[in-house]
Order: sequence, then structure tokens, then C-alpha cells
Amino acid sequence: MLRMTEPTAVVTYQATNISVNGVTARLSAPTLQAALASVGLCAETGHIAIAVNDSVIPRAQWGILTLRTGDTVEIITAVAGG
Amino acid sequence: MLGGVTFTSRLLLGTAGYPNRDALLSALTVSGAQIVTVSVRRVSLSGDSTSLPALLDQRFHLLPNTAGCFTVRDAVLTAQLARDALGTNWLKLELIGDRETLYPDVLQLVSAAEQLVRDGFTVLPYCTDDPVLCQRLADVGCAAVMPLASFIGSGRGILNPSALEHLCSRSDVPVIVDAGIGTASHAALAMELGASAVLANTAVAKANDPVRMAMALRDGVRAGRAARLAGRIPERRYADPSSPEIGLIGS
Repeated sequence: MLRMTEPTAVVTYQATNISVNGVTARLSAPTLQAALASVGLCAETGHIAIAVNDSVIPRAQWGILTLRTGDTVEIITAVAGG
Repeated sequence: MLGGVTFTSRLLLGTAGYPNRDALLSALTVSGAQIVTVSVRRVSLSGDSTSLPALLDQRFHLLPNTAGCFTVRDAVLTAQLARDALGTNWLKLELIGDRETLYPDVLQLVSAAEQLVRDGFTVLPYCTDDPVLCQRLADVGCAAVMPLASFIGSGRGILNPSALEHLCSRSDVPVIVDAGIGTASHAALAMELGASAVLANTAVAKANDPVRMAMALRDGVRAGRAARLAGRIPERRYADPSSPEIGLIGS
């Protein structure tokens, strides 16, 4: 499940069991921003989209969304295809 | 005219499998294609410096696909992610039912298409040339149908021309021949049989000279379309001399 909070609210965090693109990520904080950073991206990166637990998260929420233990994050982009 | 948008080219191209970015861009450019397909995948840290969509989206109408999806759930989520990432509600809906043949799972396809149309997508489904299936897809609101000519990537051309011709003659929506196109004559034949457009990828990407093959497909599509509009002669069982039969010397 998803919760909103101010991004500054999280000060310390023990990364546990948040999956980012199929890999258990060691995040600096339980936020979507930290999840993006773990794959070298930020909330301003173009042509990407995010789903958390199979729900697409609108870009407007990327900067403020917090994650919970067990969340599954998918960060996608467009690649060559037929 | 597709999904309410008018295009001048009847050739759509895929973007996968080219030898390099330069070959891809040159081939797409000379082909005249305005719609190009892309797929949706997890971002990887070892990505290219310039992302593919950034390279293409100013010049082409990007058509994301759901290639590799085997369930309605995966196809719908992939479609929604593609819409968010690329800012387009157009979708090439692929719902694969068999890994070996990459045939579409037609039972799931109609229900996925219906769900996506309701969600506001312009749905272009990869399907078979079955007229009943294609009618169902049109009925649920698909903007076109995209029957395979033969197996994806096989280059074997149109294996069932009479089925394709029949489908084209009665389809309520444009028929875009997708999959199996191997060379220019296949594209020309598809258009002669009444298709509205042709989608190719491997034929161009894996040709020895992708740029030249892109030109050939462009010309094949144009030639086939012109022949279709011109109205071909009926086939005859026996010879019919073209030259006058009267006034021959010695007669």
C-alpha cells in the first residue's frame, strides 16, 4: 500500500525488502526518489514510467511517495521493439 | 487514416535488431515510415547515453507494443506504463499464447482489447487472419486489426493470401499486415490484396543492407497500393493475345 508524506520526513532508514525492477534494492530511504536513484534516474528523467505493486504512479507523485517493506517497484522505459 | 490521424505513409517499421543506431535512423528515414514501434522494458543501469525514445519521438509517431506479455494483466499494465512514459494512448497490443510460434492468444486478446479501449487506448491488436476474430476486435473498438502474414521474424511472407484478401474486403477497420514480411514483394502483395498498411521489422533490420531494404519496402508498399487502386486484370485460364489478330501478313 502507498502513503504520502513530505520527502524530508524520513531521516534514517534500514532498507528492507523493497524490490526495484526485480532486485531487492538497498535504498537510502523508503521513497520513490530513492528507488529511482538506485537505478541511476531521478524524478525529472523523461520517457520513463513507474508502477508500484502493479499500479501506475503518476509523475506528480514521484517526489512525495513513500514505500513500505514488501513493495514491488517497476521502472520502465521504451526500448527498441517490433 | 488510423485512429483519427491521417498518415501519408502506409509502411510502419519496428526499431529492433538493427546493426547500430545509425543504420536504424537511416533506414527509418528513407523508409518514409511515420509510425515506428518500440517496446517497454525495465530501465537498466548499463543503458545507452541517449535513450531511444528521446532520439525518435520528435520525428516519428511512437507505437509502443506489449511484446512478450502472456496475460491480460501484464499487457494492460505494460500498456498503462507505456502511455505514461511516452505520452501516447496508441498501443500495439500483443498477447502471446505460445513461445515457439509467437502466435497470439486470441481468447485473451479480445478481452484485453476491450479493457484497453474502455481505458482510452487506441488499440492495434496483433492477431491472426481469422475473420471472426477480426470482427470481434473491431466490435470492441480496436482502431485496426494487424493479422500476421506468417510467423514473427520468419520472413516467409503471406502464407494465406486468400484469407487475407477476404479479410481486407470485409473488415470495418484498417487491416495492417504485421509479422512475416521478408522482402519487398511480400509488402507489395499485401497491399495488392487490399491491406491498408504493412508493418515490418526483421526484414529491414536483418537485411544485409537495412537502408536499401527500407527503400525497397517503401517502394513495394507504394507499388502494391497503386496496383490495388488501378484494378488488376482478372486471371485467365488460357492465352489471350495482346497484339491484333487481323492484318497479319500472308493472311
